[in-house]
Amino acid sequence: VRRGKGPAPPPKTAKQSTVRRGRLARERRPAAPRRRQVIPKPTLRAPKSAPRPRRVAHIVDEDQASVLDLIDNLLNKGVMLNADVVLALANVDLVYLRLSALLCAADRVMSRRGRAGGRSG
Amino acid sequence: MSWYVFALVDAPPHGPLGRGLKGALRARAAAGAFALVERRADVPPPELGSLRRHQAVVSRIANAVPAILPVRFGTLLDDDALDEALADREADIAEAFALVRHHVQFTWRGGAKPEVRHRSSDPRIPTGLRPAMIGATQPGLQYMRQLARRARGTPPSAFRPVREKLGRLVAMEKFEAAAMSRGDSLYQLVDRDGVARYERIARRLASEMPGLRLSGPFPPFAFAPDVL
Repeated sequence: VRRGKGPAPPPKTAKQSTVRRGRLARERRPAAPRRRQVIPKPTLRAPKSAPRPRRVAHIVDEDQASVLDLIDNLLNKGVMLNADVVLALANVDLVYLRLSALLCAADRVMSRRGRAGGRSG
Repeated sequence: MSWYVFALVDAPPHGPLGRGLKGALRARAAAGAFALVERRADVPPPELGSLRRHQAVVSRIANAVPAILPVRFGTLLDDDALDEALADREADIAEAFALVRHHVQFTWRGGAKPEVRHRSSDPRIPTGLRPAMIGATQPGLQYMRQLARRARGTPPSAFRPVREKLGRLVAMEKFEAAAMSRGDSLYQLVDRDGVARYERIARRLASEMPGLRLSGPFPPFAFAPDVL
């Protein structure tokens, strides 16, 4: 039942607009992008005006030897192998065998041994 | 407990010897020299880390003494065995010290790669035998070829500019023919006083010849005779 003379209020189910009155958003001018503040970078490198010479050759005085050098220097003359072998029977140690072997190419020891005593390594 | 031997030196380094692989390094007098040793119960495993540490110790010692003879990796001896191994070797050791004193080693690699040929394609092998012969690397055959090349003596022509331009700075030279996965190797023994000059020329040479690779300076691994 209506009472009074004013306009009829919107029905309770209708939602109010969330758009603000005035100019629509799409009509607004887009905000100018904010200018980023230019911060000078610290100069950690030399200026690129003069190109560096390209390093083709391997570094002579590198601190760490390459793997090839490492193996060549240390294993080229062979490796000493040491082992302890215990032959046991029923938890009773019977024979102790101590092995010390040199594993290398024959020519590594032949020359010295040959000179020293005429043996064949 | 045994001694793990790194090197023989003609004089112990001044100051503390530092550490070896794990324990303290000691200088043990023997046969007119000093063995740089470390107390160890076993041989370090032949893995990359052990090799690096071993080489680092030897290089550190080499920078502190006039002459050094690196010892084969894995040399573990007890007191008696060490004395016995060096007994009556004073003359040999003194001669070896004189060879490497105040010298370092540079290594050039390159030149020919080791020849790898499938046996099955070798025309010298009768056809009926080829399928039964398997193997691409043939270490034995390569080894024999390496010995044959070494017997011929002279390094290949790829090393000629190196030998010509650096020859006057080189006290001694040694050539190893290609083997397995390693190319030809030319070792040069250089006086320490001439290292700067050698490096200057060698850098230029290495940049002109990309097929050759230079490394060093190292302790004289390739020139030290086997004293142990």
